[in-house]
Amino acid sequence: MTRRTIFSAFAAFMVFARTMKGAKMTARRPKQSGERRAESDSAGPVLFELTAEERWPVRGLDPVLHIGGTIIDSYRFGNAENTSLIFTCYDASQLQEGAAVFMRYGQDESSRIDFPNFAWSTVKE
Amino acid sequence: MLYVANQNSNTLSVVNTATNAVAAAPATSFSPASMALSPDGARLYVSNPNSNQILVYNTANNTVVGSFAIGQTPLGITTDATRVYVALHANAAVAVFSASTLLQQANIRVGFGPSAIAYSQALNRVYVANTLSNSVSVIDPTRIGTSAAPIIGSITVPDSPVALTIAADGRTAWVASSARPTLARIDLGQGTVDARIQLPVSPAGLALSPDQSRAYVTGYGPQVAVVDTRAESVLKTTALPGCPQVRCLAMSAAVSADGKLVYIANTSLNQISVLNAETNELTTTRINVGQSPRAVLVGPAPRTTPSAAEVSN
Amino acid sequence: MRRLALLLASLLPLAAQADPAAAGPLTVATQDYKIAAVPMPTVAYPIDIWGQVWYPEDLAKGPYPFVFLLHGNHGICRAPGSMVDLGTTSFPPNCPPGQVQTPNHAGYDYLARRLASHGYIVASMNANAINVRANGNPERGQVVVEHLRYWQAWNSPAGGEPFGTMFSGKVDLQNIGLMGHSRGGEGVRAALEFNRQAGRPFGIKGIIEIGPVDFGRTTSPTLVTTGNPVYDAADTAWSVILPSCDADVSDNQGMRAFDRAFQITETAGPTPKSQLYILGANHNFYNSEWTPEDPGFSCIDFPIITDRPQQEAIGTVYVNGFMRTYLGGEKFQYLFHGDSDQPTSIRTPVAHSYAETPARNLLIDNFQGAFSPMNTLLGGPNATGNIAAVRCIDTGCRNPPPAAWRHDPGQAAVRLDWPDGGTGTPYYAIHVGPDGGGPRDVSAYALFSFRVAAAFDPKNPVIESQNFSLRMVDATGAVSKLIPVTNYKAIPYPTGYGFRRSVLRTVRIPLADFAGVDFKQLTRVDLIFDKQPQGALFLADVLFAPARP
Repeated sequence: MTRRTIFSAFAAFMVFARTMKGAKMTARRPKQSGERRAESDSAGPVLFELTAEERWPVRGLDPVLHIGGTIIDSYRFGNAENTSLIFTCYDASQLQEGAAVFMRYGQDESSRIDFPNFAWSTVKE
Repeated sequence: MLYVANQNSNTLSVVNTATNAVAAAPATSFSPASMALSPDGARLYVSNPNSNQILVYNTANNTVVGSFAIGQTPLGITTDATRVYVALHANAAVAVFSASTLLQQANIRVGFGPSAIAYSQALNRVYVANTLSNSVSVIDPTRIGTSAAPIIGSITVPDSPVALTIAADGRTAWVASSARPTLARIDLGQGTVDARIQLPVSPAGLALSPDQSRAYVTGYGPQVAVVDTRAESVLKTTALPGCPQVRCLAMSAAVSADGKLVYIANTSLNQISVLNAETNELTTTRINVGQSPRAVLVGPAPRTTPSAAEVSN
Repeated sequence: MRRLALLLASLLPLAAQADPAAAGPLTVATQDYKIAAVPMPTVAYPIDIWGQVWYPEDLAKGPYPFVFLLHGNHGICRAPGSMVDLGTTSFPPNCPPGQVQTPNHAGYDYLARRLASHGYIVASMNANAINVRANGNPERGQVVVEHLRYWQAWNSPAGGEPFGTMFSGKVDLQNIGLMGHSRGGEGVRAALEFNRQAGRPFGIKGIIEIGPVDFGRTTSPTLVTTGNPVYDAADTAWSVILPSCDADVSDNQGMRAFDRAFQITETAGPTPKSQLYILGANHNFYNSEWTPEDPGFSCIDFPIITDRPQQEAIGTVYVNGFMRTYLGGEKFQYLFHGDSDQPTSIRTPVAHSYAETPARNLLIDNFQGAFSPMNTLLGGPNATGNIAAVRCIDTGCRNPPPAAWRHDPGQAAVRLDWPDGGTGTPYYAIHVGPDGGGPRDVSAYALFSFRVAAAFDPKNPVIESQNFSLRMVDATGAVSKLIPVTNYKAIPYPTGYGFRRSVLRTVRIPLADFAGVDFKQLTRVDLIFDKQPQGALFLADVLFAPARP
């Protein structure tokens, strides 16, 4: 292998990432109303709000939130500046305690943002 | 009562069919598209595909008693004794929730673009038309919550099925397809299409007379086609009042409980037209409702004493 | 005599080509149309029938071919005067107070009015009501067809709001071309399918897509299922522009739809399919309303186009050239088969992939058979020397990360790595005859074609092109001269945005260039790896093709 090919191979292996400044995630139960609701913690929707100091782009690829093997692709913007992106998991029984969490546009790894593992204790009511 | 979902004013129109006056116009969430009543008539479920929400109304006073999210782009809704089934058009799935707790019980993968959905009490099956897969998926509710797959069959229905309704005896379904306008009859026991009738109307809405002898197909024109289901032929096609645009549409029809009147949502004109089912002629009745009525549903008979709101209108 | 003619044709100097982006002779006018909040049975929520139309100001002639444009997913709201496009907090297409709707559909004005000046009616629809939500591509297709129905009404003698009768009899709805950008690409492919299901009321003669998605086709290893079936470009001329520095649809999903062109069944033909992998192009500059998707303009190892006019020039050349060829009958086919040089205005390499109606080809091997690569689809056996030949498909072709293979999961290839422990010149000899070694008559064909891509592998040169030679052998034992591939096409090192990817490109060599063999009794095509001491390549879709129609 020439020095040039070694260098290029190395350069290509560097992780190429587009970061979002100040990306954070919070989880909460949405305000739902109903006449009777089960007391169970693990049923019903959970909202995941991703905030950042820059706006979340609207792209050809969709932003997708991965929580373990659960894929959440239902999203909306939480504010007019688009610095808040809210994902809705419709069925919280799919969420595994301790599951790895990341958001990514489609399969664009350079857009991937990792968040702390999912913990039920962080879900606000 | 007649319930009308007005997709562009984000309201319902609740019409007292004894007087044809709008008794109430409760607000909905974004872009109400479809409705279903609980078997006892006490609850009305409304899908709102632009807010991904289901709203639940108390039909005694038309107030919202529940609002929740169960999936993306909810469209058709149907109910059985204990559950509510919602076609999630963008998710290729049917979401199932408990009527008593309003919590989701299942998310069942079906074909692509599920839109219309209906329940057969006689067979205890839920049927959903998958517009993009040209099929009807068959769900066995007894399997929900077990390890057995709830989908027990798929019936091929070509040409983009957009409307589905089940006869009163629960053994026959009718499906209107829009790509090549046709009305298909499905023998639900056999799980096969056993008749196809060419339609003169590009369809959107479909309703059956209580004795199943007539199908009413509404669509572009706007027009309504009256189909003799036993002769498998179109009896009459009637033009509804038109609109200034080149494409005018009537999206839904519902038949009164006694089978004498057919209420037709003339979507482009923000009106309900009424067809006399005995003469197949349009009556002069036009009920002004909200903007872009997309669905109509006939509910239990109104109280005989008009409410204060009706008197003042 | 025929071989002589072909030989002479291959020696002719490149004739002066007309400029597909040149302005035409007609003065162009433009108008907006909008019917707000229309409910449709096949779409769950109301949509605006909103578009802009460009047309010859003097509509005296006609009917004119009709071209319809569809933008992709993008923000729908902006502060007045801003180019920062945002999603709404209400539901599309409504914008928060103080913001106005982004005219996403207006961003193709630069190519639309150029095309209209040649005698086309060009309309571009706004899809804001479908945007800012997951997927929505079937809906896009339904709304395209709904627009076509409005145009059918406006073309009728009665006409209608808002145009009155100005377009009556002017719109040739049997000669329609569609262009879709980003999600609009899969959207127009969906429209093609809905038109087919309806019995083809509209004559869609060609579709060109720019940086499209292909959501209907799930890809391993992470299966993210979406809400629509696979949409194919069947029974129509079709082209896809893949920007190599696409920082949005960064996995160049459009290549999957091209791969499937070899797999789908078509009833009409010939229906040429092409893929234009444009080095340095980005995603957003094709729409003048969109700011760059990556303001950092990063791309691996290739200078990205940072000049908006340069990329708009590329869009104009290929969209105009496509429509003027496949609707208008002009002669810009070279833009799509790539057998001759591209216009100098392009100023960046374009790697072509090209297929004409597969039924007309003699497919030697697509490496999908269980006995590939040592036997072809038509027989065998093949032979190798000092080279490893391993068939791969889908995840089997991906190595190593972060580089990737993003072709359709149904696309197979043979991966060739040389040297392989020996000392002789590596070779891969493909037997083109039937089982057992006999000859085959390929004299009815004019071209030998295959697809090839360099793997992301240190054995490949980074700056210069990888290369190898080809020769043909007939049943008498006669051997043609050795032809280097780079006489026709380059095989560059993989590049891309975010990760390197191997993108198959077509090499087409006139049979006449392999002088000295009898094509009536051909036995072998030999790949001789005599140009580079080492390398790793993917080879796919080896076939003989007839002369271009």
